[in-house]
Amino acid sequence: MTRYIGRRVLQMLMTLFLIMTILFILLKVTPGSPFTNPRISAETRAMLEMKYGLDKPILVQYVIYLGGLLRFDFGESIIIIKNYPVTKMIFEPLAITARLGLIALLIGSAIGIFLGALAALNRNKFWDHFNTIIAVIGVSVPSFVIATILLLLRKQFPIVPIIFNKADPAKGISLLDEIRSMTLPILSLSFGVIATISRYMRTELVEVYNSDFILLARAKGLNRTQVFTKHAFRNALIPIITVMGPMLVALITGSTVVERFFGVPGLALLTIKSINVKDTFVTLGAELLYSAMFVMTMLFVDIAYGFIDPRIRLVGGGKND
Amino acid sequence: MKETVLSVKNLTVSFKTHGGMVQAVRDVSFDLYQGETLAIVGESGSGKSVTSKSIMGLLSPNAVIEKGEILYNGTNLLKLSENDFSKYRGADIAMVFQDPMTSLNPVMTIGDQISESLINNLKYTKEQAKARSLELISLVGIDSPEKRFKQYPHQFSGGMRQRIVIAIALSCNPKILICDEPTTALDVTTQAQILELIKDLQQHFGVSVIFITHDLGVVANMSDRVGVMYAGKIVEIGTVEDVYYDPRHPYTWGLLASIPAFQAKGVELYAIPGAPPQMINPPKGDAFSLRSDWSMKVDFVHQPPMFKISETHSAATWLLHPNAPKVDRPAQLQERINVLMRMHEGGKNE
Repeated sequence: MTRYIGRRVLQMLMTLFLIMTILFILLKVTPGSPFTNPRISAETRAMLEMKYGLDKPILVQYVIYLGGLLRFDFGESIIIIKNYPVTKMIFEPLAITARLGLIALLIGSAIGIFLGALAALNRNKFWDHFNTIIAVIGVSVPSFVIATILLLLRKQFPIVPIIFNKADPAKGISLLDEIRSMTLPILSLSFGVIATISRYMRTELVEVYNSDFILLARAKGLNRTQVFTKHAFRNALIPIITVMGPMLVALITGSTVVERFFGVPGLALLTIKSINVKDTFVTLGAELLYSAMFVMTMLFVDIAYGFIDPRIRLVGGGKND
Repeated sequence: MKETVLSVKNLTVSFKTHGGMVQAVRDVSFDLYQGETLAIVGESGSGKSVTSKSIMGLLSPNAVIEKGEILYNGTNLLKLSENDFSKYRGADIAMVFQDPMTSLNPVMTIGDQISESLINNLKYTKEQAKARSLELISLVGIDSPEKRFKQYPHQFSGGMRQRIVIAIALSCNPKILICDEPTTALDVTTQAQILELIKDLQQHFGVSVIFITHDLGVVANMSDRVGVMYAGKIVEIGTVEDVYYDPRHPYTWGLLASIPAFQAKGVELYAIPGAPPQMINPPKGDAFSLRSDWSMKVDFVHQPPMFKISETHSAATWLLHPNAPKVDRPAQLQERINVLMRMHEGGKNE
């Protein structure tokens, strides 16, 4: 198992290195510079570019950046906050985005698993059709439409704030206020999760219920509840776990629309801003972080998978027979 | 007279399909006696598995029990609610399934899967259940039970898994054990071992066994009585000697004639012509009449009743009607039967 994880971590680093290289080249070959601005004279621009080393050949810049990465230095922001380290800059927005994504994933999965199970246990009855409708809406309606609908609903029932409030005791904003203001973004994010997870859950449960070991469990004299909790549920969860990891990453990287809608100062907003002003190191840092999250989640999912399914757990370690 | 543990009466089961109602089991009646093995043989689709699943209450949701009753200890099992039925399963009636590769839960340890039954049916504590499970694992012939207890199904071979399924089935000392083609999915050597195991354990536990199979060779080895099913009906039932040495139904003749084991070199092996009937619209008369060389006019019009041949032996064919012409079994078959009988005698003298 340790050897397996070691090998996977090594592969992860290779992947990240490749992504970094490609991103670096792409960002450098796109036209324009952070100082492309009518108010800045060509002279000043040349001076500034020299100051930040942007006049050097791409390869040299690349080597310098790579050297920084090895020391865990992701460079500095040039425009957004002058000379502010990217690592520090990214941290807070990431925490907000990740928190939103994680909560949306947990709430969405819980509801999705519940609805999916309900549908599978009541096939071709009300809850099954209900589930299908929710799923079709959730998958096909884009998140900005759902966000708009939520806003309209919010107009009728003004229980929660529209705009995200960062908890800040100095300004008199409590943690509770922040949580309340997270309601709408989390709801709009979790809708897609509910749709996908409930469909997976339904399909998996139906399949599990058709398998022989469920018949054996019933033949043992277990009642319906026991068959469900002890045998069907866990087996149906295995594939769900695998989709949950990438889904979290998708929530974190794909929350752009929702962040803009509800004024959440998250990572997506920062990334867009940095691209617009060509603050290259901020963009690179954010994108690298996204990629790192993605590959790491995949690894975690594979490890978690092993805990649920013993058939996978043992392949990496020694066989017992 | 032997004690009857289970009595199936006029069981009729159909399945709702898009094409119409498929009549899988038609008016099947038989008794199961204490401590015996009753084999039910028949080709695929003859209704033998549906009969066994009815006894277990494990029919799929599109099955409709049209009539009949299954009496166990004076209770008609067919009238029970799902939850009441579940109290009989495992505790009184247990089952071994066809495919051991898929009949164990892949994410649960073997130990938990055996213990589960004990805890649920006999209200054992976890420790008691573990102790008994270890005994059962050794009893079905698996070494180092302590180690095996903690392992998962994928660490077991097919034959071993079937041993575990048997251990689960027998864990709560059931009165009745239904084996639904328990060796079909196994290779031949393993088959023999599993059959031997079932035979031994039957002695050990004193359980009555219903053995479903399509392998007549297995039947001869395992069972006390045989019921032959065709097109959802029992066409002949009797002791092994009755059915093997004195078969009366043309379908049984066909089955016995087509066992390849005693085939002389160069003689073509007999095969029953035609195919089993469509059970959405079964033939009006004897379902076998279309494939039989001995059909009479009445076979195409009326279904034959069960004619009693002896105390233990009966068959459903018009050939047994007092007014029917006397028909002899085909000579080639009679030869086979003689060989069989001689082999049997030889086996006894060993």
